[in-house]
Amino acid sequence: MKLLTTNFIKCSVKACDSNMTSFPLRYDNQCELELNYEDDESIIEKSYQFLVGILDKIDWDALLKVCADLGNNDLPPNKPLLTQDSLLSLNDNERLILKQLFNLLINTEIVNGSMKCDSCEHVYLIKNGIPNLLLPPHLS
Amino acid sequence: MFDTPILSKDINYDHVYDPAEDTFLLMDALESEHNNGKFSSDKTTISLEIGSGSGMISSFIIKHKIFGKNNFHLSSDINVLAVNETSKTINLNEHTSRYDTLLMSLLSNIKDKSLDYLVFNPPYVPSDEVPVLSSQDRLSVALEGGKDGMEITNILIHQLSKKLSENGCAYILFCASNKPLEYKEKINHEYNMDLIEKRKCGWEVLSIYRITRK
Ligand SMILES: C[S@@+](CC[C@H](N)C(=O)[O-])C[C@H]1O[C@@H](n2cnc3c(N)ncnc32)[C@H](O)[C@@H]1O
Ligand SMILES: [Zn+2]
Repeated sequence: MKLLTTNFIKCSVKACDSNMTSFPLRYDNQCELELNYEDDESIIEKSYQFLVGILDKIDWDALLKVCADLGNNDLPPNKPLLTQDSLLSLNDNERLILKQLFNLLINTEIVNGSMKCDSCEHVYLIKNGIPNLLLPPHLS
Repeated sequence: MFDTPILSKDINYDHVYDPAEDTFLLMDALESEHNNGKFSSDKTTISLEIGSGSGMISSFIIKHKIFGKNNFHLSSDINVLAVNETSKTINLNEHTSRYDTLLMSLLSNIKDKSLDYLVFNPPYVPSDEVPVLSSQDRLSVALEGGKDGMEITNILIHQLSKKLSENGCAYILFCASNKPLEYKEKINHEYNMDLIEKRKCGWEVLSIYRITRK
């Protein structure tokens, strides 16, 4: 499960639907991560447009929370201000942020572990990179 | 014509849906929408294929950048063997990390307003009831859709309006016994439903509709 995906997944228990604490899920700090970091700038550059668009879509606070759950507190507290226009003249710091985001969002994978809903406490497992979001019959 | 993705030789079709006419019709519909410029090529988009089975359609979407070059694609199924095959098939066809796979039922785990595109070839064959997945029988859930073959599709469409992004849309397959024209009237107050592709396959007539919020 890619880190980016955690930004789109919430608890599916009916009673949690209107409960704000059902998103993001709380990731266990023992989760096993796999990092496939990309260093080749030219490959990362091909994803700049994608990344700026993704920044626009993601819930930054949810990303910060999931990263903190997993022991990563390196992200800036506020969403970086990058637009498609700013891609025309990037400074070194902005390039660094884009690289960091690229590696974090799509090259970091939770391969094994679990995540829990803060509202109903249901625990969802992640095995071999696949999160199991199916609910047992009594909850669905 | 875009070429068809390859599948690994060792897929066990006793447990995972073997791509058939419905699969191909859905890929054809996506290809024609793509060629008609329906999908912005630059916008960053999130797409989801529900019930990805072998992963044929998801691989097609990823390999041919159907939803543009800045797309992130999710694939889901309730059958864990199908989810495994889907990631294998995607990896066989394209070197990318811009996708993910989930063991998940329909849309209830998806954050509201997230999806730009949704694709679903559902279990659409009419049956007395919607079957339950078990380790002895993983194929019935791929085929049987309960009353009029519409029980699963109907639940999905009820969830849809909350999950689609502002201009999001869904591509869904129907067979004649699903009575798509009657259904279109039924959801007319909430959704537009447009025919994209229709084909006679043996004794079945299959069609793909694009569904958007009004
Ligand atoms: C007709 S098959 C299509 C498979 C593949 N997309 C294709 O076109 O070849 C339907 C798929 O939906 C899955 N499915 C059935 N019920 C589902 C549900 N509630 N949520 C997600 N997937 C489901 C089945 O396991 C099966 O893989
Ligand atoms: Zn919950």
